[in-house]
Amino acid sequence: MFERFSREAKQVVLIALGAAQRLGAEQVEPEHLLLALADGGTPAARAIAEAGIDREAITATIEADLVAMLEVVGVPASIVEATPAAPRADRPDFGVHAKRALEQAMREAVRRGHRRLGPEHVLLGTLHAPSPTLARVLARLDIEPARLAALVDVEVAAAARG
Amino acid sequence: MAFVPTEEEAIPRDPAEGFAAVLALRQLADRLEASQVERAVREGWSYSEIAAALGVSRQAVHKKHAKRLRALGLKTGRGGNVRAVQP
Repeated sequence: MFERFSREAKQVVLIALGAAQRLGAEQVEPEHLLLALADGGTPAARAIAEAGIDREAITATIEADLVAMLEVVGVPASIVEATPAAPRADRPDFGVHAKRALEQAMREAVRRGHRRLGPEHVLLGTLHAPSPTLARVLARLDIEPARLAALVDVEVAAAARG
Repeated sequence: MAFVPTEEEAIPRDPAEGFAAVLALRQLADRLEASQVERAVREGWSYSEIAAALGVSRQAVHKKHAKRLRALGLKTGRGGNVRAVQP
């Protein structure tokens, strides 16, 4: 599946894996892809910065969402804060949502007639049909998925002009 | 005083919210396991004892936690620390 991925896109996938591992996640999720896409000065990273968020904001919001969802079932925030994420030893798998995002990334590249799949396509694929968790994280960050996707195309066009 | 939700408050009515809470609880359980394994090892528990307490194999505990514990410079004990939790 990764043969058409550009070097930067492969890098994004690896960084997302590392982020999931560091956060002790069972699986790589779309929010880990978003985290990975926020760095590296690619058009995708510039679109994310243009939307007004960065890696720190995304990380903090993923945690805030966990706290909020646990409060729904009566777990106080203090318990969650006292139990920080521990990095896991083994490599997490890709969850269904992250797999779907990468498949959609391929479609986004094909639809635009791009031969290589870059980070911009990974971001578009991630935003296409956000998982419930990513949808909540984006909403908390006050980001409209369609608006961020539009910013990606703006940044790609700007990069093409040089 | 600690906030204790009533049953009514603690059971989500919206399935989407309920499922999100399920995922969140799994994550919290993983985190709690990691922190308790770390504490147990600091107190001299062996992998076999931790495995017995969690109801899994010794290998499963090792696979999941050994690398992190080594990175923290922790070595598991020889055991003899297991005691029943007082009800």
